Amino acid sequence: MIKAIEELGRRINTSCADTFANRYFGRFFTGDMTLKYDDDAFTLSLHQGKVIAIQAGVPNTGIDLGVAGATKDWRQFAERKSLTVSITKINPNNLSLLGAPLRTRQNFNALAYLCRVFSEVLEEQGTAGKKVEA
Amino acid sequence: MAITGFYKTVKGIKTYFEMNDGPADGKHTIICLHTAGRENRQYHGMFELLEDKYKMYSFDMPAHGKSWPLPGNKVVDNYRDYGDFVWAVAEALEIEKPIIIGCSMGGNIVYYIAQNYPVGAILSMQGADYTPTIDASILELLNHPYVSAQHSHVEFSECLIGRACPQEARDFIMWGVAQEISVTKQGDLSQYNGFDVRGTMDKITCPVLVVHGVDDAIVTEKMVEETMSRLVNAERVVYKPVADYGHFLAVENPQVVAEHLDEFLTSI
Repeated sequence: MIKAIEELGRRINTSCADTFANRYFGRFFTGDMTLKYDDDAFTLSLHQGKVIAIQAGVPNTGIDLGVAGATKDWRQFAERKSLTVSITKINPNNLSLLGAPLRTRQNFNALAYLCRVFSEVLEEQGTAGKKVEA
Repeated sequence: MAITGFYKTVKGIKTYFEMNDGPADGKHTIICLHTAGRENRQYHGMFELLEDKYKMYSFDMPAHGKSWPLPGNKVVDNYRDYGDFVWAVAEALEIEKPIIIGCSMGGNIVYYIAQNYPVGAILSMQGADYTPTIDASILELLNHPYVSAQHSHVEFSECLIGRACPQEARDFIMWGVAQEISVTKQGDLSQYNGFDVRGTMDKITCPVLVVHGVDDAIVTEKMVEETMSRLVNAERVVYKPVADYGHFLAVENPQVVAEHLDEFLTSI
């Protein structure tokens, strides 16, 4: 999983940087985004939309914002790759939002795009829906 | 294409209308209902396509577009008041047995209206009789001083658009996000989230057309099928699924909706 997270961070800083920063307002985000896949948690620390650090687990200061799901939840997310859709109440296998609701809404587009790119990386690495050791 | 805008006072609210140049003496007159947070321009495409055959009206609900809000800058936040206002519009326009068409929250409310008022027929796009889909915290934070409704809802609207939607229509849909009013959207989605007319669907006796863009992850085919299964007394139910188009169907593909609507109205 760490390979997928590192690739995610690389893309957010390179090929996906413009979309993340401008289309989805990621340039205004400074803080931590935590992604949990089953029991594995990884945190990307960002400064003004740039990934500056990646660590396993959650930050010592607590979760800023993030998304959690089991394999089946991320598998469903991959079908539409929309965080809005995946958190609607009508869907089974919803992803869960982590952190404060207010900060999540303020940065929802950036977080949603991060999840979308993460899902694409998982698919390309053939790890989508599979339990991968960190 | 000729579109005429005008104001009319409905239930004390200065309400903005548009109408196409359709025949005033036609068999059917159509009233069009926009989606949550938006306004009546969503029907310009259908206005043009159907102007040779049907007189069509659309209007901005109170607190939307160019219509005034309720007194005290309040908004409509429950579906009964919403449906009753739409019927007051029909009465203000002096239309007997109007054809009421709507998309999303408009696609929901046509069912309430048909249950309670003498419509000629209804068209539901992306509608259902039960839509408890949105998390409460999202609704609460729609009207928060630290959250921009116009920015925080970009992905919310974007994800609902069908994969085949033309770029021009996609741009217009997303421009609509940038024009939304936070308290208005909150009111719309609150009534949408609380919309439940399942228990009275058997009161609907008029012809019903359901045109559903199936590339819509919020209003699913399952929800639409369950809704239609409760239309047990409708004179006629016609279902037209539209592949690869999504939640803003009247904007995404007005041609296919116009074709289905014309075919349906010709047959009743």
